[in-house]
Amino acid sequence: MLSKLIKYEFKATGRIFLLTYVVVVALAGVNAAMLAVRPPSNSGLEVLYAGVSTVTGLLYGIAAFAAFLLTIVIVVVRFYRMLGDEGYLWFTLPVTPTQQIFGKLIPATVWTIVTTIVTLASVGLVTFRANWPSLLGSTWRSLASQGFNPGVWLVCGLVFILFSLLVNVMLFYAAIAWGPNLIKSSRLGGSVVAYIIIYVALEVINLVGVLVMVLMFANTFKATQTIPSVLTSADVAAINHAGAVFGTYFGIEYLILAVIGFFITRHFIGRKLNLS
Amino acid sequence: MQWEFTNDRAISLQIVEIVQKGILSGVYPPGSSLPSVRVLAVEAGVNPNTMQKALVELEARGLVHTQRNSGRTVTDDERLIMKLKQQAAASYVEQFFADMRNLGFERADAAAILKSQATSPLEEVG
Amino acid sequence: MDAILKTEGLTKQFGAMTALDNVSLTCQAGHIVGLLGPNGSGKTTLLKLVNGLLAPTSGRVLIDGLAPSPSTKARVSYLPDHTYFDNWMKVRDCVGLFADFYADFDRTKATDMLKALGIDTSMTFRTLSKGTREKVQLALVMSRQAQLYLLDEPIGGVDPAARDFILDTIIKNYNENGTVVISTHLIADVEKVLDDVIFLNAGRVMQISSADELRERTGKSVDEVFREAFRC
Repeated sequence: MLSKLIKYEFKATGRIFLLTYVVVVALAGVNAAMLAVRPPSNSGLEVLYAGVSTVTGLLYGIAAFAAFLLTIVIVVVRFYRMLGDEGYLWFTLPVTPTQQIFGKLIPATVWTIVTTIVTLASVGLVTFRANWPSLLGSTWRSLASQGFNPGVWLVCGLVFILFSLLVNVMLFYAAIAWGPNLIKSSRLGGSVVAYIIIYVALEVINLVGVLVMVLMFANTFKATQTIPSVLTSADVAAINHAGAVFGTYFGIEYLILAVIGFFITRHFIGRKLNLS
Repeated sequence: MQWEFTNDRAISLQIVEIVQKGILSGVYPPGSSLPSVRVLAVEAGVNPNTMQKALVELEARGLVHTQRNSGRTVTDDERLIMKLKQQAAASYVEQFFADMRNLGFERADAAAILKSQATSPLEEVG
Repeated sequence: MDAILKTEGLTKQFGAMTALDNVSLTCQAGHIVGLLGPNGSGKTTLLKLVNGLLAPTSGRVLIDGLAPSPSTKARVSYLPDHTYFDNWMKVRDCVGLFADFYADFDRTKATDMLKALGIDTSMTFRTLSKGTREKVQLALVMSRQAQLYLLDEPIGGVDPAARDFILDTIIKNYNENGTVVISTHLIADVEKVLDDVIFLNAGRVMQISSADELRERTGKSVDEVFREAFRC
């Protein structure tokens, strides 16, 4: 059942995402081409070139930004609409509320990851002259030789980003599910208010966490405030330690909040469902 | 078979009357098998439960019989059919007399008009 | 258990407004039941509660003895009074969706019905007229072999030919294990096919009886009884 829900979600959203990606990559290609045909100085075409390349650069920037904005909008709108008229279809199917949530959460996560990859790849396309493989390779080796473990940082960083993505989506879902119960007369108003409350609560929790960690690890954080150009092994250790503490604390916090968001959402679309 | 119903009387009773008429008029010949309840219900545009109720009543009246494995058949009891035909005829006649009384013709006059009309039909006026 | 649908003291309030007030009723298996009442009498609210789209304020609803859940949803076929498919979906995508999620769905029956209605399955929902969209949903709902069919105003706003087709389909689809609940205020068109009638007004059950029994008792059609009952 869940795989079928996911299938239909991808079918419903696939077209618009692919279109967006094509636009972003195409504009990246245009910009790459522009950089490749840069006219030599004193050829008389500099002004024209400057004008056109500014426009193409701007368009690409807007497209890349719009791709991320669109991803968030689609993720939110898809869930919001499921609690509207479409709900008469989805909530009469023989599926559990848990499956309904994952049926939207998994595609949302996948699309966000794909948008990120496509945008990064498009940046890579525009800056094709930078020879990214050797640049990245040498950076990696340099970091490793100084005592940072790039592999661990990368994996933990990605997991951390994933958790923060999950928690943000789940908090949107929780707000949308809670909204109609909060303000019964306006589903949209209720959802917005619910999101504000949830977001503020999240920020307060984060702030408390940061304060606690600053107090507990004052010395470590002081050390990372000014990063000297030559790092001693003590500096490296301190940075690694700070990263571990920060990442572990917030990673777990995000995971817990995502789970709480899941249960809130499931509560309001399960037995307490009230479809308009 | 003309399935026409009024909604102010039990549908099942109306079905009984219509099927009985069909049997008497030969639409459902004696001994013939009736379509299934479902087919009849669709044809009549009524609920199969209602059709079933009607057929049960027809069976109680002896007009249809249920065979073990082959659905329902119309009775081949010619005497029963004749008796019902006579009953129907009698009620048509009484209706005629009632209509004629409304025109001011008593039974004897009505009977006389009937006899002359039967032998030499008049054209309808107007 | 003979009662496929049962409600016990079912009450639903929306803030200060009571949509359903202590509704207790039973629907027998294999019966075609008319849920009759004027607009705003709580018919749609009742159907949504049976589907689990609303949570009761008090009381309960039981489908074959169970509270609404994915298990009961697999056995209930619901036709709401508005369309719910995404505009981008083609008619055959909708058929595919029902086939995917409902084990009791008969794909052949659905495509035959759509063909009989003259509907091109390659058209998207966006391009269909309102009446055609409703016909598509009806064809899908009736092509399931469900234990309980809930039809909310299936003949409202439909031309007479389609109305006859719909009633015909309901009769043809009949099986002894399937109960059909037709919720409507257009009683004259539908009353011939009803076994039982439930009168609902302002969230309360006014009376429940068999249609024929009502006719014999009052000498009137169900429609006339309904109009008189709700005149003032």
